[in-house]
Amino acid sequence: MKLLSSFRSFDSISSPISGGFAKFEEKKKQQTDRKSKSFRYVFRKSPTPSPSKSPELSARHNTSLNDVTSSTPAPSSPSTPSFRPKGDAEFEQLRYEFNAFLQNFSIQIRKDVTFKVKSCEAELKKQSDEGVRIDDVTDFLQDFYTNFKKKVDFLPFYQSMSQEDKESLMNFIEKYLTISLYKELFSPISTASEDEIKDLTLQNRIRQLNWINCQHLDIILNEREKQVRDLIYGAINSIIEMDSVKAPQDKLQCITQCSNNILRALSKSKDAPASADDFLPALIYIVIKANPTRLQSNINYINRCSNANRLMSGEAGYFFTNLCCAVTFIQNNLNAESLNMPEKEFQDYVSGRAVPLGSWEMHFSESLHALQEMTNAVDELEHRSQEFLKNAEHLKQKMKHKQ
Amino acid sequence: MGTNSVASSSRAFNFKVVLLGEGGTGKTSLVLRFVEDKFNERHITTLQASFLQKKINVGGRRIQLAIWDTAGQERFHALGPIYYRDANGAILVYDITDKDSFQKVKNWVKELKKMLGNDICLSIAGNKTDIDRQRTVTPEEAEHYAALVGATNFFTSAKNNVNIEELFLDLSERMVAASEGEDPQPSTGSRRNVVVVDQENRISELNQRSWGLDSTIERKPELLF
Repeated sequence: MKLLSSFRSFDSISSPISGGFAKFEEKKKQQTDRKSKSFRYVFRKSPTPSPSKSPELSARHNTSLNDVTSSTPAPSSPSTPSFRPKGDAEFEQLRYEFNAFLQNFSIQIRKDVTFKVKSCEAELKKQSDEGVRIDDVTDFLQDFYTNFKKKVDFLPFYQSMSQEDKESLMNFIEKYLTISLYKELFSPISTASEDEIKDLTLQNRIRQLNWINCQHLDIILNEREKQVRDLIYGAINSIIEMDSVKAPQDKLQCITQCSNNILRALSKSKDAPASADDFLPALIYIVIKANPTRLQSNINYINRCSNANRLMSGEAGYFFTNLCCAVTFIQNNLNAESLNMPEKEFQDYVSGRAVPLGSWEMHFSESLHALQEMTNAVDELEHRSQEFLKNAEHLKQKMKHKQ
Repeated sequence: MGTNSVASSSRAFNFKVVLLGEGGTGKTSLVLRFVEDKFNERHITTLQASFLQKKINVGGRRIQLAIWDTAGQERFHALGPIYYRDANGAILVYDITDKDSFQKVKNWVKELKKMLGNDICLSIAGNKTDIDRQRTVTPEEAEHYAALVGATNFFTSAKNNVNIEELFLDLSERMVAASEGEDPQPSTGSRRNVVVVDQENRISELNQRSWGLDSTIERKPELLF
């Protein structure tokens, strides 16, 4: 156990870029590890017994959940149990914030939220332990989101909360459940090997397409400009980072950040607001250059576990839809025909027999960057020396006048 | 549904509207004119026109429109269904001086009809009436086609700000009507040709999604509080 936790903490600090293989390793480890990690860990915090459980709540409830729910922790005491592996620091942090947030509201709200969310957590855990299909498990999760939202919107004792607080509450609930049950919900054992194959297939496909540049997709990106290049790097980092965060909204945030960087780079290059005609090809380009880890699994996870309302509307939903489009295009439609090039040429590039002109390396190789920087420095020096000479001349003239 | 109608008087509507049109038809200018009321690119503050939101008021109802631009290039045609899934409305833009762009609109309409049936409200915008002299798509042809497929037809000019507001307001009215389950046949007259066949299923589905009144409440008693 000790060994495993030290492995895990190593993984969590390793960069997401180099973490491609490590992630798979980690997943495998988690799978072997999970049996030894009791689910009750998640709840055990303080031994405070539940102050007063309202009878109708417990009566309605499945008895098998009682041992879990009876140890409702006091929402205000986020004491960190020493036995938790270090990898759960994120979860501890969230629980602390969640409890602090709940402090602002009545005891009735606090009790209701903690009880219901924990019951849901237990049920989800139970279902995945019993090998229920992941789609059914997450249907249950989605139903919970929907029903809880309805409750918060209509039950009288929740009406002391502002609209904003209600949204935060729903966000906390989603984060809590998905981070707590990440292992069960993200590429669960039942589909793990299948997911792994899909992820690797996509990754290989993208690797074969790595030669694609802006011209192939008719993208207007001024990669010569440093600002644009930095935004492209930013976009690539954000999309890669997606795999290292757990909550669906955090993953969506990475996608949004990536997209905003792309849109900024596009509008800088074009000097006009970027439309979808500009954005989608650029996103495809970024996905190809980034080749993010476990991309398919991450998309499946967001589709299943993110509050469906979020994906339906709002900016994050739009960007996520575009990411799905980009991946579908890469998988099914990116071919010689859609790139308007002869089949043979396409195959030559894919097989690595040939490399197209004007490739990525033209703008993104480190030595070329260094060269560019040095050229800039020389230009700057030249400019300054001219300034200096001009000033010297000026001074000379002045001295002449004085004489 | 009972709870719904009680809530509907005060509720805000959230609608997803997809924007379809070839590059060069002016669909970006059209949506920017509506959202920012600007045409000249130098005055536009937003960095992007791919996803825009606007709050409007129609007949005392608060409506939040989320306008989803879609990539119009032919190579992305197959991705359409991913974009317009769950959309309440679609605006199809063509250039009145470009017959091909009108043909593309027809292709999209066919596809939308096939995938979503009458669940989606359609508006067709013939843009660039400011260069009417070069028109190649006749008004009769456009209107006839729109009537045939149950879409509303508008001739717009993003440049001169003609009919843009009207286009969005009309679409919003029809989306409200569709989601409230009223007969969306407009009271104002013959301008619109709306064909709506049995929207009952869509309505209950919509309400479930936006209001969380899921039928699963009955199915899963352990979550009934």
